[in-house]
Amino acid sequence: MSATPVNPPRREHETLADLAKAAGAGDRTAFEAIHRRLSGGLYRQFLERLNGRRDLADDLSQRTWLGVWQSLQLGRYDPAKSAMTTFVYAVGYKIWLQHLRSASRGEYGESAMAGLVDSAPDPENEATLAELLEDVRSCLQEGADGGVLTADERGLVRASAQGASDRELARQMNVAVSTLNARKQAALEKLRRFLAQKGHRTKEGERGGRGGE
Amino acid sequence: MRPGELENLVKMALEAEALEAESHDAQAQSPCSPFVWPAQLHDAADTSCPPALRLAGSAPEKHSDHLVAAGASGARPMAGIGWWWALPVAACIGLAAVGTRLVSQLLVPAPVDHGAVALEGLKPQDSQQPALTADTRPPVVHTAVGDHAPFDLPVVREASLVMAVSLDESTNCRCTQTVIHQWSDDRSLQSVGRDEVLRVGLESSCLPSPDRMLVLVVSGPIDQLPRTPEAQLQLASCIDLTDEDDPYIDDLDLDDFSHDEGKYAAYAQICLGNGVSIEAVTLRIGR
Repeated sequence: MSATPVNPPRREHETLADLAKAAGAGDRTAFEAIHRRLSGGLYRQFLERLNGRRDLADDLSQRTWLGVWQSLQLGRYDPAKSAMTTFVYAVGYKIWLQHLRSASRGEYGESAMAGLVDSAPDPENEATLAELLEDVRSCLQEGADGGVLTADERGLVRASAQGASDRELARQMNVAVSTLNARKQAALEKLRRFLAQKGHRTKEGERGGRGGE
Repeated sequence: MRPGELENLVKMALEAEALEAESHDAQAQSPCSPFVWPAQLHDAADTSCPPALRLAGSAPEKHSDHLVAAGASGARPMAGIGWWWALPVAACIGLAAVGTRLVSQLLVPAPVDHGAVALEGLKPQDSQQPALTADTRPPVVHTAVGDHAPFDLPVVREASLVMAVSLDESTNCRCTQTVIHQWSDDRSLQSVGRDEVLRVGLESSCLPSPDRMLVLVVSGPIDQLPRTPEAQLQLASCIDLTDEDDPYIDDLDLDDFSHDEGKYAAYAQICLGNGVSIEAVTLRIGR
């Protein structure tokens, strides 16, 4: 009697947290379900960073997902500390940073990449990075974390991170550029203090300073 | 905080947010790049050994993530050790204590050709074939090659153990190799220059072209040197600065070998006692 091929369940109605828990227990269909939901977005992000190099985006994506699987198996993902999307993003970011470091002497040009790599946040592992990003995300969401940032500050920080210039933002808010810049720095300072209170250490702090204080 | 670091964090948080938004969008859930389960991925859950995970179907990007378990073949291998522990990023660490061989300046130095030594559970990887190694493994000791030969040091009373820790930046692979070395003219470690220590370390390196190196030299009476694989493993653990719980090393940049040579020497001295002299030299080659 031959075995009848059975399509694996697509598990579309399960939450990512549940799927992550199952995948951590070795459930491959759960992991594939996570992959189905997030791989498109991750791939697109790699593609944007790599200026459309599909082969490399494929490779980095594959390495990211291997890393995610391994981390899940080793129990390094804690759903209480970060969303699965943040964790996948963090693993992908570490892979990306690794790629940048290995490639910086070659195709990208050392001087151009050195600055980027130096200013890139690089906590020691993906779980720590995910927790850090999760806390930043919570600050940028409405009503979260006791209103660390006001609505205006959140909008300002978001727009700035998305590439809006100070001049452009100042015009929209009808304030002087210097005023706008001061508000932005104040918002970032609030964020920095919040992260320090949460115990996140900056690169400066890792080198002996008091991170964030 | 470094200039731009916080802004980068915000940007990353927004990208993670976008990833989550796309996960709710069925249109965005594109199977454009299906996950390929590597043949050996089933073994990934088995953390008792460090499997090499090949990227089936990976793009032909030039990278060389590979497990290095190489050692000098100039002398007959006596023992092989591999030990693994957690590292911050995907990294592999191989300790190939390929026997303890005597390299005397008075004799013809044994050739070092970086031949691979088979370790239990490990297969030396062809550097042309992309492979990904697990980055986090609990400490496991593999004792492999059983061809033990008697250690023959009939006239040597004092010698140095040279432990060369090599790091390849592109693969994050660390490989540690130890050799017993005797300085020419029976000189003591104190009279040996830094350059010479580095030269011996580079000759002993089990990575063909390391990016960074730590050379630890333990010098003293031969019977006080850590000559057995177990003792070398212990020494390697002593200078492993990746112990996250140790407040003393809490502020060190673990990615940088060159932060403080004195700390490596101090850690080794604590483990080995005062009967030996120790020197640590680090080198960042850079290319």
